Order: sequence, then structure tokens, then C-alpha cells
Amino acid sequence: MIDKNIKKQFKIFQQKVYGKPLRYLDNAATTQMPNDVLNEIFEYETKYRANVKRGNHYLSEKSTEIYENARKTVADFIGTNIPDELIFTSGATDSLNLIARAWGDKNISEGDIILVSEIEHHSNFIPWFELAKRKNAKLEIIKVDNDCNFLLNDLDIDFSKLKLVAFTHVSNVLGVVNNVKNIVKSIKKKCEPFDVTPRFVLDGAQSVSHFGVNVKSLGVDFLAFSGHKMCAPFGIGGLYINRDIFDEIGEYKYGGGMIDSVFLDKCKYNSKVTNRLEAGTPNVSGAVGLAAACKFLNNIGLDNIFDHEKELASIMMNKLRKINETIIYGPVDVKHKSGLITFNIGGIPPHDLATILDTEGVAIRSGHHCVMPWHMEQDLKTTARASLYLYNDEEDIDALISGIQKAKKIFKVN
Amino acid sequence: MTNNNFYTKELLFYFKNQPYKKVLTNFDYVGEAGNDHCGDNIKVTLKVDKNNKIEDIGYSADGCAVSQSYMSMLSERLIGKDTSIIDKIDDSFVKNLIDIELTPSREKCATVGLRALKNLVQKSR
Repeated sequence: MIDKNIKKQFKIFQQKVYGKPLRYLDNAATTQMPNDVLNEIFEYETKYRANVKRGNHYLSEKSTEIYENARKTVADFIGTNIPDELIFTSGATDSLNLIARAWGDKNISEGDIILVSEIEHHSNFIPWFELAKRKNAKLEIIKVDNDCNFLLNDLDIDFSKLKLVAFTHVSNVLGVVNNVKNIVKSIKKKCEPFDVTPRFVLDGAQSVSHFGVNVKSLGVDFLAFSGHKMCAPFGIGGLYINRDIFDEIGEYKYGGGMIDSVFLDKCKYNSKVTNRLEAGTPNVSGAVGLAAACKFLNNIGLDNIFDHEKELASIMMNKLRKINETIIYGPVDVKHKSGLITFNIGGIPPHDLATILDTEGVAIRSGHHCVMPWHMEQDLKTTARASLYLYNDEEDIDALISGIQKAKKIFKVN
Repeated sequence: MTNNNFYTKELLFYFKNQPYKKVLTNFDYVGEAGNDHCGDNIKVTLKVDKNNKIEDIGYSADGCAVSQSYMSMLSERLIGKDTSIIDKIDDSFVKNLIDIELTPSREKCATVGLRALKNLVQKSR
């Protein structure tokens, strides 16, 4: 159970929007930061701020220690006890671009196949699209059915050429939690006759903060995630890289901190992956905030968070479905879903619905949610999305529903 | 902070009544604009007479009520005018078509139609 007063731990919920309590249902885009996280960042910035791994003075030593401890905490949070497997990035987009450059440029060649699903966020599609273009490789697409099941048996590709598979853990548009283990197993089986083992990239932006993710049990080589979707600041995120493939990793960004030696005619890069991939001064306060967020989420308990979201999602689904004009996208059974529902109300364009809900203090998302290909396949331009998190309650859902009723009146629907 | 209460009767009238949201089979100019962020997209066609006066307008519109109703209002104003008027009108002209205080993000919706008109090119023959 989550403390009913949890919103009090988030200063942002003390304010009113247009004179009404803030009903924040746009958590798939960004989550709010609890006071604990803000306080830890404040403490770091006011007591220990200094560049890391460069100075030998007190603050620098302390700052380095704090930064590396943050790495341990975040690594542990996603289920690896090897801190070096966790690279700090600026977020999931940065993590995925990193893989495309540092791994992709080194390992993908002409004719190779990169496989992605059609339900991917643009950040887990465009880096592969561009990588395929750079290397004259082939980008193949896994189609999904209405319930977001991957149609792996429909794949008509040359599995002997398959080098990389990238897909999302939880769809940011349908909320479906993919069975990662089964997908990995099934694709590996199709590759077996050719003695080929592709690398697997998992986009965890919508998963790691909503339920316990143990990366070691999933069978993937990479896991990308964002801090701002898990109660941490903007501009920080993580990338897990399985150490078994460290020797396949090249470089991403070039600059200070990632070198062994630099001469005018040659450069040697650091053999340690965390150093080599984190060029430049890292976002230390972001890392501190991300680690603080992991502690905060662990204290609440990821199982409690998931149960809470499921319970609310079920209530939200039932209430939305009682409105005659509601069209739900993806499965209506919340059993295999996270706390995210994408829908439309017939007769009200989603952008207008979001604006009217806003006047009631209810924040939702409208648009294509950075998943244009799927919307096009469905012959849809845009949809509305309400997404829950640990601090939401039934009153938030009631405000959403009465806001929809208000929009129906304004648009004279029914 | 503005309370986005701009779904007035007038705006909704123009949304529900869009006589120019139609297909022109015979047209002289075509233009398109969109707002990828929110999915608004308007494709407009114009039929002009020999003096370049706008005889008819036909547009297709996907997107929100704001983008569609402002396109509807604009069409009403443009009928019978010389096409050169399109170069002269600007965002503030569009925003003043009715007395609504739009938020910055919704101003982008309101002006999609104007941008489609600014993108007009002569139909290739």
C-alpha cells in the first residue's frame, strides 16, 4: 500500500492550476520530483560540488566518491551488481543513440539486419533507421496486433543476417508490458540454425520506474532509461551494457575524461567502458538525483507502485469505458498493462480535450506521443493519453472523468 | 495565467459549420501546412477567376477544433478577394478574427490554415 498522503512529499502538488488542484496524469511524459530528491541535490550542490575524476582536492575527491556511489545505487536498482555496467547518459534518447554509435558503427555492416517493432518511440526507431542508412544495412519491422502482441511468426527475414533487435519494455502509447524473456528467446531460437546471436536493446523508459526490473534475468544486452520518468531530474538517465560484450563497444562522444593519451598525431581511448563512454564533465547532480530517486522508489517498494498503478488503471479503464464515446486503443484488460491508457472521445479532437481538461487542472497528453508510424498504421492522427504514477489517486481519475463530461457538453457530444 | 476558456459559441460554430471543408476538383492553387507536435494538418486549394480573384476554396483538415475553425473563418474572409491579400495577412490578422485570447501553444493551431495558404503553389498542369 502506498501512503495516502504521498502527494505531500511533492511540493509541486501544493499549488493550484487555474484555482483547481493539480491532477497530473502525464507521467508517461515526465514524473514529478519528491522533496527527498530535491533535498539531496541541494545538499550535493551546496556541500560537494566539484568536477569529478580530475582534481585531487577535497571537494573533487568527495564529488567523485558521490558520483560513483550513485552509479552503484542505480546499477543495483536495475538489477546488476556490477556498477561498471551502468553508464550515465542524459536520458533514454541519449542512451539509444550511444548504442547506435558506439556499438552500431563498430558492428553493423552492409547487408546486416536491424529489427525493431512498429510500436517504438521515435527515440528507439530513428537511431536504427539512421544506422541502417549509414551502413547500407536493412531495417526490418516487427508488426504488432491490436493488443500489441509482437507478430514474430510473421517475420519473413533472413535470420542469418540479424545483428540487432531493439524494442520497448512497455509501450508508451498502448501501455502493454512486453514479455521480454519470451521475445528474446523466440528470436534467438529463429537465429540458432544459423549460429547467429543478435544483440538485444531494451527501451526501459516506461518500465524501470513502474515495476521491479532485473536486467540480468531478461536476457538483453542493453537497457536504456530516463531519470525524469522516475522522479529524478531532467538531463540524466542510464544505459546498462552487459559486460560480456564490452569488447564490442567503441566510442560515442570524444573529449576529456575518455582518453588514455592524446598526441598530435594519435589518440588512445580509455579501456574502461564507463570512462570511455562518459566524455566531458558528467551531470553529477543529475546522477545524485537519480540515485536519490532510486532510493525513494525502493523505499516505497516497486511492487507497491505497480499494484497501486494497476488498481487505479482498472478504475480509470472502467470509468472511461462507461462514457459511450470512448475509444480505447490497445487491450482493455489492464492485466498486462502499466498504468497508461490511450483513448479518444468521439467528436472531440484530442488536442481540444486536453485543453479543456487543463482548465480543470487535469494534465494529460495529446498528440502522437512520438510514435507516428503506429498512428499512421491505425489511420489515426492523434490520441489522448492519461498515465498514472505512484502519487495519483482516485480523485485524479474523477477529475479526468468530470473534465471529459465538461468537454462533451462544450462540444455538444450526445 | 490565462484560463484556456476559448471554446466559445462562436469558435464552436465555425468548427461545426465548415462550408469550405470540401474537395475542389477544379482548382488553380494548392498549399499544405501542419503542426507535427499536435497532428494538425490542413491542405487548401483555391479556384481563381481570370483576374486572380478567389472564386472558391476547398480544404481538408485533420486536427483540433482551433485549427479547423480558424481555417473556416479565414476562408469566409478570402472569398471574392484578390489572391495578393494572402501575402498581406499575418498571424495577428488571424488571431484577431474573433475575440479569443489564445495561449501560445494554441496560437500555433490557429495559424496552421494561414501557413497552408502561405505555402500555396500553382497547380501543375
